[in-house]
Amino acid sequence: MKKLIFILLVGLLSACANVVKVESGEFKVSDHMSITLSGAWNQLKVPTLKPAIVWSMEGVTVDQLLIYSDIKDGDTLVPNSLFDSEKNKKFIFHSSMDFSQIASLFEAKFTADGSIFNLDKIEPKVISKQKGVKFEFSLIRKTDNVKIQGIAYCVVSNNQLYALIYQAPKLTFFKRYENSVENMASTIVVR
Amino acid sequence: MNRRHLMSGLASSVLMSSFPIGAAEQVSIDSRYERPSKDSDEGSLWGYMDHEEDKLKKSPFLIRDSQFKNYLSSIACKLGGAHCPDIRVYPLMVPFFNANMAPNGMMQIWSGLMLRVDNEAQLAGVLGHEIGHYLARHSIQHLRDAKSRSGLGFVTGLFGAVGAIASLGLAAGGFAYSRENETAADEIGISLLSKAGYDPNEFANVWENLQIEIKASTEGENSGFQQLFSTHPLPKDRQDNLRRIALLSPGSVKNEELWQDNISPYLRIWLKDEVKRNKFESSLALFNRLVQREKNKSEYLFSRGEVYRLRNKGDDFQFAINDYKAAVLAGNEPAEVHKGLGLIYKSKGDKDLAKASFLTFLAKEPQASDSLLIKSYIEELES
Amino acid sequence: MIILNPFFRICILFFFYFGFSSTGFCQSKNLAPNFFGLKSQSSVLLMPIDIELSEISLGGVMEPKTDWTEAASKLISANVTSRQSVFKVKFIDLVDDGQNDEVNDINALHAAISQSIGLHHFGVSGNALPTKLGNLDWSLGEVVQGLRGKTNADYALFFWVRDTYSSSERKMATVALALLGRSLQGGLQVAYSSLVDLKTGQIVWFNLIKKPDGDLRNPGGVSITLDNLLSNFPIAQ
Repeated sequence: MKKLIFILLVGLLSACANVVKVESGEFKVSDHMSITLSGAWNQLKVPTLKPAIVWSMEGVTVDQLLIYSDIKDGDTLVPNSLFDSEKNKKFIFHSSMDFSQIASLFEAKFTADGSIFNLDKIEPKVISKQKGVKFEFSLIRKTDNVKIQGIAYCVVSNNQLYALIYQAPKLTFFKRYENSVENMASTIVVR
Repeated sequence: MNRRHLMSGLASSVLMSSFPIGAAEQVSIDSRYERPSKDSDEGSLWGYMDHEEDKLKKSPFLIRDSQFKNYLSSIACKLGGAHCPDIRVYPLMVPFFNANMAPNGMMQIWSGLMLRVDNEAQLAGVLGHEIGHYLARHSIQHLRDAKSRSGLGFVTGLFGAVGAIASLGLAAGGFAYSRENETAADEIGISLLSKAGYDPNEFANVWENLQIEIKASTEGENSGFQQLFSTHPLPKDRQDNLRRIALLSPGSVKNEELWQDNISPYLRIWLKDEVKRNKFESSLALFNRLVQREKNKSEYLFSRGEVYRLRNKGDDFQFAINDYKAAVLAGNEPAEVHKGLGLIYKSKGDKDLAKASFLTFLAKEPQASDSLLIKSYIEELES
Repeated sequence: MIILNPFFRICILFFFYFGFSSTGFCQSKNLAPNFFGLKSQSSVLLMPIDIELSEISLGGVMEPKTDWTEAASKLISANVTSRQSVFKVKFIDLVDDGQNDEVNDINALHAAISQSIGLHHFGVSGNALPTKLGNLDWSLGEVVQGLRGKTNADYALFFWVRDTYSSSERKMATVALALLGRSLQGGLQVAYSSLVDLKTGQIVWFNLIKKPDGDLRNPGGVSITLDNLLSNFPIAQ
């Protein structure tokens, strides 16, 4: 897998990927979701992480903020093109899922490459005045054995999933941006 | 990587003469192998395996408990005879049925295998089979055949990758020796098993048990697991062969209790990993067998209950409740039994029962990672 | 310390005329802002080299070659150490059996950061992270202070090297295909090197090689590669 990351990156280096700045202030994620930033972030175009919007402060191989919105019942959390047929689709959200099951859904996605996941804590959280969930997790990333810490905020509104998930190395980086992410999460508006 | 390589019997015939069918007493374990020179293809393979072994030592999947490791090593040693010093055992937290031994002596044993075997003899049977491949140097032979066609890619699939199991869609070490080599390894394995005093019938039992799971698994579930199993196929003639040789070979030790004692610190987490695979049909087949084997083990009842609860088809919720309650009766049940009950009762709208179950769960495990979430469920039920 | 080479003289002029507040404007891409070079005789810890040499077979399969890797690692260490007096530093070797979690974690973290620096700072301009303002501005943080405590080193020098070589069959196929007007991807070499300030974790210098350079399987090739990779190492003035 290390080989893959190296080849992928060499490939990306010569491709014209897009990174744009996301300024402070309100950011409209979709018609139904917005967040407010109190400092700029970088938005990266990473097709393999669709349907999430991907932000980062230190670079795609270091930290990632994934923003999911309008995920309907039956939608998958990864690009549809990864599956060769409807019945082989994985990581599917169901609006009937409870919060533990939503956490398990993300766990399944993050461990698909062999990474090791541990759910450290899960608790209810009011998000956009609705009952949501916040969970904290640790990962050992399969590709390079880096120890990752993560935090996720999820809410289901009108049977659709909205989520903000931040992951960064446990050493140094998670702590650096944890507050910024928590602040952002507190500004989530879902209509 | 999933290559069934059908060769003529020629290559193995010389080998077979050293290990005549049914004559276990005539097996001789030669002196240890010397490290091949770096320039040879065998040397290159060893070098690659040494590199993989270095990575394995750092792997977060590795079980580092030296007492457990020593116990497993002692089993490998009983089988390996003079080769004992060259066999290095690595137990790994990987929820698939697999063990394999690389030509440099590195032996991986996956937790999915350890969960499934009933006793020490069954594990020894699988290890003996792998040692058989090692003694007969099958991997070098195969390397020479495969290299001209596709390079060393297969090696990663065979030995290297704890990562190969990663994607649920990938074969867990999907790689096949020839049918002749598998037969040879069977026969050597049973010889070693018998010579070490174990009941050689237990080896065939391992495969029969696994077949039950395979048959139960749906088409969608068979990825990884089925492909792995298909590298060690069990046509009727192979099964018959195993039984026949076993009949002619002495040995009676099973060490069921000793085995269960040694794995007990790991049982709950291995069961949890199995449930997490979300392969409901095959997990149910496994848990049915385990419950049948040990009717009053709360861990098995709980795990089966979890699968019913997660599958949630038809009367599954009722089956789950039955299993959870049986686990409580069996005693020393995991605290999550009560959480499982609570979640089902909550789904069904049985508020009082749900609340009571959740409270029991929290009393048993106040520091659970989801304690705050469960408390919020209780508040919801009260309002 | 003012460096009076022509480039910097022009920079200073720009600074005064146009009032740029970021030193990043004049700073080399390979240096952190506000870092202009080592003090003479700084002690530099040589971190275990993260390297893998592989062979690509005819079918495109990459086979890691342990003996090449081990040999190259030793050659690189020796070559780097031999530059001690030219670099005006004191190199310190880290005694490491490969099982030290602290060292492994820091090395793994460095590898991840290097890949991002390679992609976002040294990649095409469309990949740059706007919030970095064009600066080499990455830090491993205070976690490196443990290394400083153990070794008393001021800095640590990291290397990350992935190198592939075509097997002879593949080379022959490449020639054959070229005659037909097609191409096969040849060997790839990616190498990163960085110098980290062990007081703060700041990456103060970084360089990379993105295309085939010297053959790391022999001392001559290692020399060529390192001449290139270390060409702008921030030697004390």
